[in-house]
Amino acid sequence: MASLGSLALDPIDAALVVLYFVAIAAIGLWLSRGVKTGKDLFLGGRTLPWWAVGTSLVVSDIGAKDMVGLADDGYRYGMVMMNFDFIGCIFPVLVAAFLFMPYLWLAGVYTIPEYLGRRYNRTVRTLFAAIWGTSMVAMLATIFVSAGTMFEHLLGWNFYLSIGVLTLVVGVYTTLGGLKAVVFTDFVSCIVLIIGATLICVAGLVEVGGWSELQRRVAELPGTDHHFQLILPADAPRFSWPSVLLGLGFVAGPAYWIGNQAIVQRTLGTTSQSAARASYILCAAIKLVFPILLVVPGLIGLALFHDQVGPIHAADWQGGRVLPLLVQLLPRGVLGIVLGAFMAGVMSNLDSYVNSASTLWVKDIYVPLFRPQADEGEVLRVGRWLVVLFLAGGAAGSYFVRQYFGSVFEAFQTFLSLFQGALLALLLLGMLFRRINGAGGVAGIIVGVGLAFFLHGWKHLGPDHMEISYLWVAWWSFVAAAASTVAVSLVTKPYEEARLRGLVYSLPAAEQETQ
Amino acid sequence: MIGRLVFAGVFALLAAWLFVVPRHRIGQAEQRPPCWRNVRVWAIGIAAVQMAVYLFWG
Repeated sequence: MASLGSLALDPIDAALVVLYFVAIAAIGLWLSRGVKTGKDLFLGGRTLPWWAVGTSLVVSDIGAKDMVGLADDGYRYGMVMMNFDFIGCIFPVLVAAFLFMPYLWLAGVYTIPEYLGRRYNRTVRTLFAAIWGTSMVAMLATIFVSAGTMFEHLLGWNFYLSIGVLTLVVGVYTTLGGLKAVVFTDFVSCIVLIIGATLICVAGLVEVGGWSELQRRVAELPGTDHHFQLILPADAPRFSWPSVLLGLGFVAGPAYWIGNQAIVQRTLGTTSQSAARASYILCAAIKLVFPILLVVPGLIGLALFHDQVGPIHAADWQGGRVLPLLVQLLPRGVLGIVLGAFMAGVMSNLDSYVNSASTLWVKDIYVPLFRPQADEGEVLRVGRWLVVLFLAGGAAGSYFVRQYFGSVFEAFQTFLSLFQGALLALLLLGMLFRRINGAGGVAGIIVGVGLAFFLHGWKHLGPDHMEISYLWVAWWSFVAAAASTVAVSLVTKPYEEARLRGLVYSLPAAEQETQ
Repeated sequence: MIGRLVFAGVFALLAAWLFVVPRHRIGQAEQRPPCWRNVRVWAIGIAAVQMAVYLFWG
């Protein structure tokens, strides 16, 4: 049986890994030739095809942090983790494709805060851009940790050296090629990622002896009563069905798929709103399969390696150990493909978040607040420098994420839950109701984000270290933000109808879709 | 059991909304595309698969 030691790469595996790195860098550099303006860098010149954007959406969400994190969490909690891609992704993606995308696309914006700025006011725009931009750098750190952990456990590479190499490769093609390079390299990454994840699943199931044997072996272990259920009882301490439905399905999922700049930005770069919608549908279709490929390996790991990894509810749980063990089941040659898939996941996540963080800071903070007269050349130059700066910041931040979070997936979700509730409340209310105004929006941000910070802080400072799931944090911050936005809007002056045209569901813009 | 029905019900409602929502409300062009190119048909199919998944694995 495999152990948690490092592997010596076969020449074929090593060649495949190097080939993957070179191919991705070459595609990115080739596509960088056409980048002349900020619009090229941030929206790919609005020429991106739906099929490339659809696959890019998938791998911008699912990457190395999910391969490592969901294998860990599948081991600990079982199939309930698939909800993050089912009710937490497919449901909001379908809603977003038909209800929200047309407004964002027709508004011709670069960023979600830019839309919020037009709908509410500049304060809302700046606050959300700053919060999102900062959080994205924190998320980059979680992606770096998942990558460094995997390379360290599997190949014996130095944690920080692995991060340095990734920073260099991703930095080169993202800095030069912008969103177009990101989307087309993501297309390649998505294919490699699907192949790699399938290979791990198949090899693991063969090793266990099939699906029935997997269920039998897991059932013999303590604490695994619900490991093969998507829905947990209402009184379950984690991932109870009401918390999954309300916190994930109705708040965190929609906020992520409707309001996440890294997600929405690539759909804004499509050729038409029809193409934007088609890309979302393709993403939802792929997501029907992906969670199975990512969570089932955790169950296989539980059946095969529970002696080495340890009890599922261990207090001193250390993340990142399940996948490296599973990968060692693969024959040489195949291992190179899976490592390529892992790198695909890392790089597609990194390039998406760093490009979007740069877009936010340039378009919503640098230009409107400091350099309104900046020309396209300056926007392009500053955007590229910020990519370099944020990659360096994320790499440095990986030290803290590694120290303070047991699971990189949980770290990622925790960062998101701090502001997703408030963001979704403002987006929903702003798009659906004309009575909502800027003063209400500012109140909603302050109350919603403030409550989320308070609830997370209460976990550590409150009596007996009260346990509160990040899903409930997202839900209650949404409720608080929505209530305060409505309350303050109702007691302050409403906006005139002309100001809201094209920004609110009941007030469509005069202009029609160009295609 | 209740949770399973609630989750399947959410996707049933979504599929029903996608089925009845007027074309102009979701920004679709006047000309009706063939079924296999109609994103609304694909979306309803995906929602139906999710209903089945939650009823079977819930």
